[in-house]
Amino acid sequence: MLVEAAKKGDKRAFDKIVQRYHNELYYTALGIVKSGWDALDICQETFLKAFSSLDTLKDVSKFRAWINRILINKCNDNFRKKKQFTVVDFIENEGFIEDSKEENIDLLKALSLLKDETRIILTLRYFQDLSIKEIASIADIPEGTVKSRLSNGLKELRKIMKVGEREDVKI
Amino acid sequence: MNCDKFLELMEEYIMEELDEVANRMMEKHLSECEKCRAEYRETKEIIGNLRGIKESAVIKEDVLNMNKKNIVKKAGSLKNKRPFMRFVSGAAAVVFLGMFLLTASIVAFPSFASTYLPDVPVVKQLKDVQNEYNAIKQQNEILKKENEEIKQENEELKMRIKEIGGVSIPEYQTSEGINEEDNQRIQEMVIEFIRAIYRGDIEAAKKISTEEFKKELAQNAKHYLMINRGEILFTHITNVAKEGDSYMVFVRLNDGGDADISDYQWNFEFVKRGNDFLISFAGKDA
Repeated sequence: MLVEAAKKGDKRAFDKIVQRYHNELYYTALGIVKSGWDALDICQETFLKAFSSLDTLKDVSKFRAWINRILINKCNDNFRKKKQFTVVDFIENEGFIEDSKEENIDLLKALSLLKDETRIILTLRYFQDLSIKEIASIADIPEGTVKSRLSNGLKELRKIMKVGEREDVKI
Repeated sequence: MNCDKFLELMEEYIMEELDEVANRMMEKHLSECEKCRAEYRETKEIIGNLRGIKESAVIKEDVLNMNKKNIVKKAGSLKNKRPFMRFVSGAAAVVFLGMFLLTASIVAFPSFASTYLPDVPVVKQLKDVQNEYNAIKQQNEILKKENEEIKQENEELKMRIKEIGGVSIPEYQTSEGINEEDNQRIQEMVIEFIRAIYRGDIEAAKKISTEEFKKELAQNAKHYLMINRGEILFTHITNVAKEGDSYMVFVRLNDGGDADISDYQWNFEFVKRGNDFLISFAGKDA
């Protein structure tokens, strides 16, 4: 309904779509590109790209998967642009982070240590609660691959978090 | 169910995506296998924490809200140019053509149209273009005027940087001047004189002075010597002006000394004796 209205150029519909999807897209981008400011930019670009090419979306019920696909593409563009610098700035950005729980920061940092392909799957799954099927279609990989990346990623995260705990070392 | 199967389905089990049958089998294995129970606990915690990140305010709400507003704003202008515009453009084109024929002037047209159809986007755009054009035109005129002023000033001052006694000094042409060779010689003597008195070498200063001024220097050496002041920085010098038999030149310098008087000026007068020039007067000026 909302997407249909937006397709017809209803400004309020844009507003509602942004309200509805912004944060989850934002956190997904953050999990993938590891930089708060970049994630905001990517989010913006994603919405603008989506709104400008709404005409090409045939099945409006697939909007969520479709906009996530755009988001992933934008994240990949960002990777290409910043290949040399993989700076983690989740917490380096002052004025950006509210007083977040320490363990969340550690978890984000641990997440940032995973391979890009694994991290993308984990963020789509847990920051957006997408189903395995949806993720498979967004990332264009078989469902089995999604499952194995999830399970490997989780295993690795547990390992990293444990090492951090045991050695009491900041990851 | 064995451990491999349990671990394979564990993620979906935690996400509560398995069907009833599978769920029961998972629960059963969980109650029987200590090792899998530990795996399950840890994984569930990690997943719970990951899912909790977006709820815990990691990013300031106002930053997110600002971004949302930006998007809506940009999307609004984006969408304006699309279907709605197409419709308006089509309908308005007919009206515009009529108005254009009536006013018969592209310059007057936007103002005319905006009076009658102020809210139509195309009219707004035309009006904006017109305003922009006028603003730029105005700016250009201001810039042109400024350029002319600067040009005039430069011509009045006729400033150039030249090498005198081994340093670069801006020279201002304040008078018609004398021939370049004498001009240079006199300016070099000025620099030489100032360096001498700053060194405390009154004899060197005397050497390039007239007999009368030598006496003056000998009697009032204290007044002329500038020992123990800072480095000299010549800030500018005038070209040599000839008045009657005297040649005059002013030099401004900064010696980094007492802040109030560190930046000051020396006025010189020279006379020509045979082929040589000699200093007949040197005085400090504020």
